[in-house]
Amino acid sequence: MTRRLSRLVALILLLAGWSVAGLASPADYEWSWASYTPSAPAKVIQAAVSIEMLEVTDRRGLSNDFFLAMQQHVAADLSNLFTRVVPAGQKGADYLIRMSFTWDGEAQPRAEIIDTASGKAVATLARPSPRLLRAVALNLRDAMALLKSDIALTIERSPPAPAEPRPPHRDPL
Amino acid sequence: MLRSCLRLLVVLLACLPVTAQADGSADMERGVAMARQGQWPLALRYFRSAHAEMPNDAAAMLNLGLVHDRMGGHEAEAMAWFRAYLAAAPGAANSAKVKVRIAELDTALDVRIQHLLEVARRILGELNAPRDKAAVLSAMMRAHAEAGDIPAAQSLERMVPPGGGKPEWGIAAMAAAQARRGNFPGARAEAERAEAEAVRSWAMAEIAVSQAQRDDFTGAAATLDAISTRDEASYARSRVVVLMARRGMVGGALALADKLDGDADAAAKALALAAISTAAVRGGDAGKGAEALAEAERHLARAPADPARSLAQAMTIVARCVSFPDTSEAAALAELAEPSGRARFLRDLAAARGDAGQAAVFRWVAVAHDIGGGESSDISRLMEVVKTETPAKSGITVAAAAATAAQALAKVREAGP
Repeated sequence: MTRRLSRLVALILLLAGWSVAGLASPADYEWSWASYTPSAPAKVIQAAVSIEMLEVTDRRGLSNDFFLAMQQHVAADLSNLFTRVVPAGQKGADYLIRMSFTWDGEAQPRAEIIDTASGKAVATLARPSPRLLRAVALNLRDAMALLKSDIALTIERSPPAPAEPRPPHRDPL
Repeated sequence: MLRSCLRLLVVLLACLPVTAQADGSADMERGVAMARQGQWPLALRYFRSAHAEMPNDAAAMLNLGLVHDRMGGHEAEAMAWFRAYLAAAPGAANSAKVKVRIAELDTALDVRIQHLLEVARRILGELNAPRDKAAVLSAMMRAHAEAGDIPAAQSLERMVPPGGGKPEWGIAAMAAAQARRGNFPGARAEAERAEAEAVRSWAMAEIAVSQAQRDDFTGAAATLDAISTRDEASYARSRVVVLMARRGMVGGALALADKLDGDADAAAKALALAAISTAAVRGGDAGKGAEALAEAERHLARAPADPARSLAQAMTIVARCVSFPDTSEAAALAELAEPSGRARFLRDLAAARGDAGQAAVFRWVAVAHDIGGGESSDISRLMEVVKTETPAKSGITVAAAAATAAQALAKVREAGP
């Protein structure tokens, strides 16, 4: 349980770092991304991870190459943390990080961490709080405590996930 | 037993047509050839294709029943296809034999469910972790609840060890079973025991629909208010609206349909409005019917392609055929690609036109398609699957297969004599 939680914390830490770039305005985007320093965790987690970039709406002039580079950048960062990074679309990953990035007046980054064994999201990062983002940007280590409290809140909010799949309804139609 | 089944099959296969009318005849012939060689999956494919081409052809229905019978683990589907055949050809020479076979299949499936539960119970004995035990017990409770055996489900709940947590889906299934019996206060109290919001909402949705099926629309409306997740609320509200509309309560159905969020769930909104349109036209209010139909089609155009849309599309086309009786049935069918949607369209259109015989045929075809979505309950196949799983997952898989089979058997039994 502790090991899974530490994996999860590490994953969310990385994704929060990715979100720093995500919340910048389009004009500042290149700058923000360039200034993001990938974390370099000391401990390698014995798990494989894959990332998937979902639909990106309203690119605001940003090229496909940019989004591809962003994906590769996150993948490179993850390879520091995980024993293996599985290419998107291939089987064999323990976790799948599903990222999406939309514009709704402002940037709306969102990331889900999916346990590939169960197919269920174990954590979701949707518009992380500014204090968290600032903390991530300034000091990844300090962000850890905040992330832990966020995770605790998430777990508390989520209902206990039953191990069985949801049964179908007895639909009268 | 096996010998008698084979004998019946030979008799029935001898009845298969070697030539058939319309465009599906080539597929029928290929299906018969495959069936004679024991190539059941291929025979099934050709008979499905023949049925799609000739939806009224009784022989195609009989052949689909035979193939499902022979494939193993598909007893409920076989029974539904045989029932469809009997409804389509009530005076058929082999109808007595087919009825006997339906009774045998009913017994065989009942026995299989008990075998699956016995396997799950043996796996349960090998588990140590309380949470694993609770999960397997929960799935077993579902199987008993689906079969309507609430005391058996309750006795399993008492076996959940301390620290195992609540058997959430088992509790939800018991609530649904109570509701199907008409005990709505008991069902609501049972559903309230589920802690997970998604599970509680699932149970409340089942209760609301059961209340509407028994014409308790006031109770259903109150239960709908207790559903807290959007998906379950959309499902239940749309079904309650359809059932109200079918009772001719157009005004009430419209008021309830207003609460459906068409932006969030376009298919549910389209489904509800299509049923209202049909009811309004049949009630003599063509203007209201046309208005509801136009709105249903607008929502349908925005719905993502999934089974919910397929059902909404079938009902919208029924509403169109009722509003515009000169609409070609063939053209309407051509719009429906998914077999289950086609069956429901033909069933509801026949019912709307007052053709009880045809409605009965396609009610059984729709049941067959509905059951067809479930996994096979064949024990040997299940054992192959569970070999690669942990004991806890194996227990859940086997018990869940028992629950699926119990639900399928209940659907066939409840669909008619």
